[in-house]
Amino acid sequence: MRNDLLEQIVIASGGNVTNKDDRNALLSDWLAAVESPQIEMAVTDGATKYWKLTSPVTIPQGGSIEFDLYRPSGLARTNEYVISGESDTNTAIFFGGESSLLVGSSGYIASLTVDGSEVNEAPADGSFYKISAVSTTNLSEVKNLGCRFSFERLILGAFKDLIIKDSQGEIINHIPLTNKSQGATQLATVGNVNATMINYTGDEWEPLP
Amino acid sequence: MSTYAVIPQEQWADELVQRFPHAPLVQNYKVLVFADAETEQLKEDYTECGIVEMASSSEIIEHIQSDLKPWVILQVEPLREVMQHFNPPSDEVI
Repeated sequence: MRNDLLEQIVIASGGNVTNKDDRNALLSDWLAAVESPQIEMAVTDGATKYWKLTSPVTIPQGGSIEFDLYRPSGLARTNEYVISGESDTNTAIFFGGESSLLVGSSGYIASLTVDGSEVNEAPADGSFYKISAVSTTNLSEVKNLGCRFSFERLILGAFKDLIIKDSQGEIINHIPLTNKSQGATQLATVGNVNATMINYTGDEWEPLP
Repeated sequence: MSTYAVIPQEQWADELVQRFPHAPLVQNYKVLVFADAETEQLKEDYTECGIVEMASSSEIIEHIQSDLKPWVILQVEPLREVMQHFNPPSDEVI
């Protein structure tokens, strides 16, 4: 295997290249990356990148969707989309303006909270906010993170710990979204739906704030 | 951060649709997204496309409006401005 290919594999695995001309060092870098996954956040660019789930996840009536959302400070944008369903805005959380979160007018999603408060303000300030909302119907389903279903209004920021719960509070699906070594497709630790970043290059990862 | 290339849509359809299946459309151009480390290789591989680097969104907008063929290599900040210019946000919030 060529050293340049090994170098790409190390980077794609979330590792650091110590010497790109030394094959043994590259193999060692690769092993280190696989054995100790780096916990980081993948920051989207607000232009081309977003998360797409491998299939829509239904949020049962009385169940909930939770996730942590980060947006860098100094780059406040307006009306960014946070979550959406596959083909409509029935299941939707989005920004109205720069920092106020809203839910879709269908009423499928309700009881939105930010860090446990119903004020629903999540400013772009370089910190994570825990967003939570309850499903009022078995028709709620999430497919995209960070864009509208039409792939517009892309968010500039990062997600972690997407959790879907049923009405009993049992976790149906959990995707940490922070395992750099997994690359573009982040695997669920609970459930079988994963998340793939569209237009992923590997340059998205940054240390958690 | 990644690096971006704005290229004519027909060229994307002919040669690059499989490598960049989700390239966003801006007018008659597609936006390719690639790792910073791939930039030099991409320039070598597609040198016949007459690659130019631009940092000014107004310059890139003019390039697109003039339907010019060379690829434009650019960074994300002007790209956001270019995309917003051609796809201005709707007044409809939802």
